Amino acid sequence: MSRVIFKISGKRVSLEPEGRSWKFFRRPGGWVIAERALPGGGLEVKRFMISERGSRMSASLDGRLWSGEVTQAAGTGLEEGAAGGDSDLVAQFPGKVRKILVKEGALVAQGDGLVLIEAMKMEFAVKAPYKGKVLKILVAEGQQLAPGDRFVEMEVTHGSKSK
Amino acid sequence: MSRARIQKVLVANRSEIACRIFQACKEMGLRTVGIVAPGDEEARHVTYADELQAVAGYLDIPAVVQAAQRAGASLIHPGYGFLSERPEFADAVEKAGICFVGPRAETMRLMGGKIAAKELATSEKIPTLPWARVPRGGDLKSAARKIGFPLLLKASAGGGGKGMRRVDRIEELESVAESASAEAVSAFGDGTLFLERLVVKPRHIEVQVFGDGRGDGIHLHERECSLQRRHQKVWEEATAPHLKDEIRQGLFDSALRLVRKVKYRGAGTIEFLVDQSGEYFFLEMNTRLQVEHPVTELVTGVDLVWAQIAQAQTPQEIILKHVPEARGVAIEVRLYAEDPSQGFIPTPGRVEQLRWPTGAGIRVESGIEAGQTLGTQFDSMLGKLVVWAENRDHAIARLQFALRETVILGVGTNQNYLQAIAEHPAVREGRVHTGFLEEKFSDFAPAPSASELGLLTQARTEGMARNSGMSGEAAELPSPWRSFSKGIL
Repeated sequence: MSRVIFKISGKRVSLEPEGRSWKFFRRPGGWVIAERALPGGGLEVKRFMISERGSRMSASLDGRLWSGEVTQAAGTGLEEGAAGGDSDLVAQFPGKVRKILVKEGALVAQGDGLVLIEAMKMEFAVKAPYKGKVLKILVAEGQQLAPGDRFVEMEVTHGSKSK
Repeated sequence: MSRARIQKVLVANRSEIACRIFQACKEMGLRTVGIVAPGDEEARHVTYADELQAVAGYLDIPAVVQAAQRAGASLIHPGYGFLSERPEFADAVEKAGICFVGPRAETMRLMGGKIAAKELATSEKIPTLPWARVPRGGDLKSAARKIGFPLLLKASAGGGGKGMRRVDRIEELESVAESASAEAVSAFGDGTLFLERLVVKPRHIEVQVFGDGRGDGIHLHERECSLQRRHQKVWEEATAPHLKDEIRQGLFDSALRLVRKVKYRGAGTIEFLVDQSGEYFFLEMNTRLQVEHPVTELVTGVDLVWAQIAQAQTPQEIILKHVPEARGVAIEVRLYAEDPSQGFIPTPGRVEQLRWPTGAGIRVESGIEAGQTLGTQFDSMLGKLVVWAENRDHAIARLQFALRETVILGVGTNQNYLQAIAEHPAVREGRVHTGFLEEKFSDFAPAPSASELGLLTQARTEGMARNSGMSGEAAELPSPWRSFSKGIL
């Protein structure tokens, strides 16, 4: 079974199927039912929904929503909890650039705010995915963003594994 | 105006609250007129009304009034937010010969100014947070002693919470005030300081009122809305747990004194902060329907929107005559399109799957439809889940059931966050304060367990995540539902 890299909670996790495998059935209403044998006999049953469009995958399991991005196929060697990558520097949703918080050439630590974005009447910061240097700012204050627009170009500086 | 002549109601709002008001109108036999602004054509309220009028924007007063005139509406209901608390709007509506469903514009003006509203409350012997304005070089110490500690100190000229400083003891006062005042001079050219008592870990408790517009009115009990994230209410309930009867009675008496004083008309809410000792302070009055009005409706059995419209139609009648009994416990949570696992970033997108819960004691106020694309120009609230049960433990269990049965895929939601809140012991005990979520959940970043990820990976690998057997086709489908007809058992 193939292994994929799924980005969730700002972390990359590799998705690996479990040992005891499930059998799936589609049900009316959009539900997926998963069944597997219980060790003592009988069936364990889960009811959930899952959807994938483009690279975005979301699933609702036991009333908890997990959504994220399927970034790569297997074999890239990325481990759970590794520092984020350049995809953090790309707009995931449309919005507007409120404020640019850094200058070109600035050295930033992982988690430092780079750009303030406004969307859905809320403001939030695009944070540096790793320790590095801001090479180029690619957006302007007041600019409308489309998904896929890149905010800044960055370069990793030494010691990027440390926080 | 007689009831027979009133036929059409324009709802000057959008999404879930517009749908809620349309429901009341339809139940009352009134024709409904909706408005739609550019970019909002897919919104749910657009399909709910008998008639639709395009407006340039939901905040465009002339456009909204003209839309009502074109449609021949005789009433305008403003909902909450947008124009609902703008006296200019109420004036413009009345000037156009249309009945505004809400209080008089002068009441909004009076209650809209924080200081003016406070002074009015003080004149009615309603406790407010003590405050003072002290010019540079003025007698700061005696002002501070009168207010009491801890207190907040900030530049009087600056708005909001900017440059706000906490002072715990009189010994700290001078140095903190000096730097604040100097900063105020350089920022605003005015060193005047504003001081106000700081309430530590307060509860936010508000009283629902309904006035007859002629000097009398009733209360419809209280709601607790202490669970807030960045000043946005997340969880509201009626009535407030563990509130002593004498405090409750004090809140009701205070609220009704204000209603009588301003001859309040229609539905309104009077907000208070209640401190740990039970002392309470008037905060402000909201001169409109609240987002959280359903919890009051569920415990009292009163349809507030119906009452608002009936009061507007027949101003000479007293619509709500008696304080209704409060039965059981109702809880509302707000679902927002935001992702708690990524620092609550807004998550617009296409609603790929939507399934609201059904069942005993569950009420849903939905603002979205399956297949709708949510943009970034409007508020991120997707809808509200509201439950009622005969006691609080059962209401929380019911809320957890309703959350588990809710599926919204394609956009992010704060469902995980709401589930975690419902599981927290302090929430379950009903002992929270307005800083609680910031204190306990500021680093909330849920992640799926290994076995959950395993299940989802296998489901994805076996094609369960695709709405259609052919992935290329999925993008063209107008609704995610259609594709399921193929794969059904």
